[in-house]
Parts: sequence; structure tokens; C-alpha cells
Amino acid sequence: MRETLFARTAAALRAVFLGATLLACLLQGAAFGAGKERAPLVIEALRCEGNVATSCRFILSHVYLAPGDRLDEEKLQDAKLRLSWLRNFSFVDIRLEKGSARGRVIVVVEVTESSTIVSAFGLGLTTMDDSTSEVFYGRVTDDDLFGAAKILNVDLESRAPSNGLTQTDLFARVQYVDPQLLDSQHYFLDADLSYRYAQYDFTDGDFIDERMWSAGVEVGRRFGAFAYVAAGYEYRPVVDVVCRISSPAQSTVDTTHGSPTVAAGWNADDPVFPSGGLELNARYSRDISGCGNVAADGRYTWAIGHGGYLSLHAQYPLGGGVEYSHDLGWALDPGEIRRARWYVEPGIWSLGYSSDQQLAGGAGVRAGLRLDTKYLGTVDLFIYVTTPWRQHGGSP
Amino acid sequence: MAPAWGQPVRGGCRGALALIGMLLLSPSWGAELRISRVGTGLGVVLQGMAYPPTLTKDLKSGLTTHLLIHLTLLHDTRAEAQRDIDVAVHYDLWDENFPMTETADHAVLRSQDFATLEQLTAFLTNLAIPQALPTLHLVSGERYRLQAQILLNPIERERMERLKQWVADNAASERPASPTPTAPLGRGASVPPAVAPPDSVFNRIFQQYASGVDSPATWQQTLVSSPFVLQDLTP
Repeated sequence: MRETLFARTAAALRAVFLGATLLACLLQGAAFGAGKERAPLVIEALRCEGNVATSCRFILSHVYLAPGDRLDEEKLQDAKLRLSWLRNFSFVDIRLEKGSARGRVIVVVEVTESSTIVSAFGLGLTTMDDSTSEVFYGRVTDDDLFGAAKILNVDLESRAPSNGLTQTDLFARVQYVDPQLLDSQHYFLDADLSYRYAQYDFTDGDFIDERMWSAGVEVGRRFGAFAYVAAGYEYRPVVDVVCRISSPAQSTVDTTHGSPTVAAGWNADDPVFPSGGLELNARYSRDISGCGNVAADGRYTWAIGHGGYLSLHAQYPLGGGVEYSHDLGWALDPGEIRRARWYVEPGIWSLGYSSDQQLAGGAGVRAGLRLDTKYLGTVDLFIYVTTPWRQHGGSP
Repeated sequence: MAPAWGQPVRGGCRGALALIGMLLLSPSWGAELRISRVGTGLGVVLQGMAYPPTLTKDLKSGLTTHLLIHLTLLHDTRAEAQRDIDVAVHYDLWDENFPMTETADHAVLRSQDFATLEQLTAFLTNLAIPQALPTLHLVSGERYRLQAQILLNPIERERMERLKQWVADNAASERPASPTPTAPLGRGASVPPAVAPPDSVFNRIFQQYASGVDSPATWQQTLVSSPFVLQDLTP
């Protein structure tokens, strides 16, 4: 009896031992199967390097990890991408350093701050109605005015004829934007002062002449991820706009000095290098007497194949086009030219518009090269070959 | 998810186009993909790899660096089988060495510790993967090519979607660019707003993602072997 009990106990112990051994082997196998995993690391501290104008608190607010947390490499990689997206930094790197004991690490976020001043310009040649003109547009923006994240923007656009009929255009604007009005996450302020002088002569005696100073202010609100609406007032101390388009010869004169404005839009894509999504901006001035102050521009882009993009443009007053663009490869490292894309766009567009349905514009092909450069910002080199059209009485 | 070994892959034409695109956009810089027969499998050596200059810094960062090697066996232009191999390496801050692990299908193919950065970079420059693919389903006498797409620190689709949402939320704090009231050049908002994010790893990754790349990466390279017949491979 005693022997039987002993034998049973021994058998049970053997079974337990075998089971434990098997379990240990399985666990070991599982650990092996998962690769040579490192022991879990714990964050002892987080530190910033390279920041001068940006606070470490701001930088670490994008990391989503705190001292005492278990190190999550995926979260760190995501933080690096989030910080890289911000225009504040031209370079972001994250590394670990030894902490006070084995298994405890210090997370170091290293940044190189970028200039808050960003520029963009375009240079092109356009032909229309026996007139060839050089076109230049440029923009300089300070995204961190007064170190307070306000925006100051200066635009200049010009068109100067090199031969043929007079087709001159000059537009200049100074714009101030407070993206967080009174520290609001939703409201913004947009104020600008602009000047335009334009003179377009066409072969049959039609013309558009405009000289205008304008000052405007708008307050807007953002909705959801991409939408906004804004309302304001535009005052024009100097207005001198005369149009005569199409036959029978008829001039309209715009002398409206003030107008409420309403704007709305949806911005879900990169404005310069669109990669997919909708861009829609519309602005309306209550201006019933003259040559055009309604502007709307929409664009929808699809990514096509590897590095190709198809964009449909629609513009009001009448305009539109289909743009095909293609990336010229990805830079392996940030260099002097960081992105490049060629494009070609057949389309039509308007130059002037009046309340009695007079329209003038052109139809043609625009082709060019957009670059994202290290020193000059965004560069657009293009050529525009067009034929003019004028339309009276509504639909062209 | 890569199809299992031997399972035919649809969209061979699309794959071939992608391959041509990859080849055009990512020059090989003299790197070669060499194949040998190792037991019942194909051994692969990615020879003369030229990684981005930032790799050295990444390897010493203490964080894990992943090289995803996406292998595709091509018969003519048709993808016969695929397999993903992950090469993971990190710097051990205390042991001051570089443990490396090659895994595929949740199984470890090989692990090795490198004492110095030089040893590790020499290994990665001529990256050898024994038993990269089994030979079981290769038809005798048929000619194949092997394509290897090498991705540095790829990002899965779910993470990209999370990041995309984060960008969407944060882009809302930017002032949208309204069109220029007048249209001097006939283009409304003809001046592109100078608010595009700076060039960054982020931009490159998102550009790839928008182009339909499943696993965008900070760097990638594609190599294709010379045509081979199984019997001609030397052990």
C-alpha cells in the first residue's frame, strides 16, 4: 500500500516536472520565435537638444511619453514624424542615452530649427493676342512674427509686355494673419492691404483698365479638419475700373468703395504639391456694379500610378483645366532641391468679369516645373501659351 | 500580407509597372542581388548596398532600426511568390554592442551580435540572408528572377492613417489660403501659399503613401537578380 502511494506520488511529481519542463521549453521557444527581444526599457527623463527659439516643453508635447513610462519605440518614431511635419524644424532626430541604472534610458530629441521666413516665386512667359509678356509672382512669409506665431505675408505679382499690345498687370499685397485669434483654437483674423494696376488691350479695341487700392479685414472660424468660413469688410479708397469687352462696344465702370465680404473653403491637400484631396476657396464681395470681385477656385487631385497626379481645376469666373503632374524622383536626403514636379495643364481662364456677363480670358496650355528648394522656397518655372477669348451675354 | 510560398500572385502587370517605376526612381548605385543554393532554399546576398548617410546615426541611436526586405520571385513578369524578411538591429547602451536579428514569418532565421559599428555596417553592406526562400516549388528548367525591395524603417498602413489624422487635426490650426481677390494672371490664387511644410522625412513618407505605396519608408531601394535556373545555382 505504502509502495503504491509512493509510486503514485512519484508519478505525479514526474508529470508535474515534465509539464513544467515542457512549459519552460514552450516559453523559451516563443521567446526565440519572437526574435532577440531586448529587455523592456523605462524612460528616466526626456531632454531636448538644438532648440533655441522653441521651448522643450513644446517639443516634448509631441512625444506622448513621460518619465516612468515604458519605452515605446513606435511612439518615438511617430513623434519624430509629427515633429518633422512642423515647419519649425528642418531636422529632427531621437536617440536614447543611458540612464542612472541598467534598463533606464534618457530620450533625447534633437532638432534643427528652420527659418520662420518662407518664400515662393514663379517666373514665366505668356503669349496672348499678339502680345508676349513676362510674368513674375513672389511671396515672402514670416510664420512667426514677433515670435508669437502670427503671420506676415507679402505678395507681388507682375506682368510686363515685351512686345505687342499693352497687357500690364501689377498686384501687391501685405497681409497679416492671426491664426489663433485671442488664443482661440478655432477663430482667426485676416487683414490685408492691396494694390492693383492693370491694363489689358485687345486687338479689336476691347480693354480692361483697373486701378484699385483696397484694405480688408475678415474674422473666420475653422470647422472640423479642413473647413473654414470668414466674413469681413473691404474698403477701397481708390477705385477706377473700366471694362469694354466684346461687341457691341459697351463700357462698365466700377466705383464701389466698400463691400462686405464672405469667404469659405475646404483645404485638404498640399497647395503646391497636391497629392490627393480637395482644395476649395471662394470669396465674395457684394459688388453689383463693376468688373468682378467674385473669386472661387477649386481643385481635386488623384494620385495616379507611381508619382503621377491628376488635378481637375475649376475657377469662377469661368475657368478650368486638367493638370497632370509627375514627381521627378524622391531626394534621398534633403539637398538644395528637395522636391521637384513637372506639370502640364490645358485649360481656360478669365481675366475680367462684369455684372452684365462680359468676360475676357484665354485658352491655352500651361507647362512648367515646380521645385521645393532649400534656399529659395517654392519655385515655379512655367510657360503659358494662350489664345484670347471675349464673350458677351453669358455663356461663351 | 505576402502570399504563401507557391501561391500565385495576381496583378503581375501592375507589379511589373511598379518594378519599372522603382527602378527608374531608385537607382541601384552598383548594388547587386546575388543568389545561391543553400540546402533546400535560396540564399540571398544584397551586395554593395549604399544606405543613406543617416543610417550610421540611426544605428547608434539606441532605437531599433528595421530593414524590411520584400522578396518577390518573378517568372517572366509574374510574381510567383513573396516573402518579407525583417532585419532588426539596435545598439545596446550597456553592453555596447549591436544585436541583430533576421526574422521571417515570425521565425528567427539568424541572430548575431556585432561588437563594433564597422562590423555591423560591413555586414549590412553585403547583407546575406540564408534560406531566404525555399526552392520546393521552383519548376525545374524554368528561368526566374528575384526582386528585393529594401525598405528602411517602413511604416505600416495603420500608423500612417493615425498620422494622417493627426496632420488633419493639426492642419486645421493653419490659416487656409483664400484666393487673391483680383486675378492679375488669370489664375485666382496663382501665388502658391508659402505654407507648405518644410522638406522632411515626413514629406517623403507621405508622398509615397499618397502614391499608393503600402509601406512607405524613409529610404528604399530595389534590386533585381539576373535570370537564373535552379539547377545552375551553385551551393
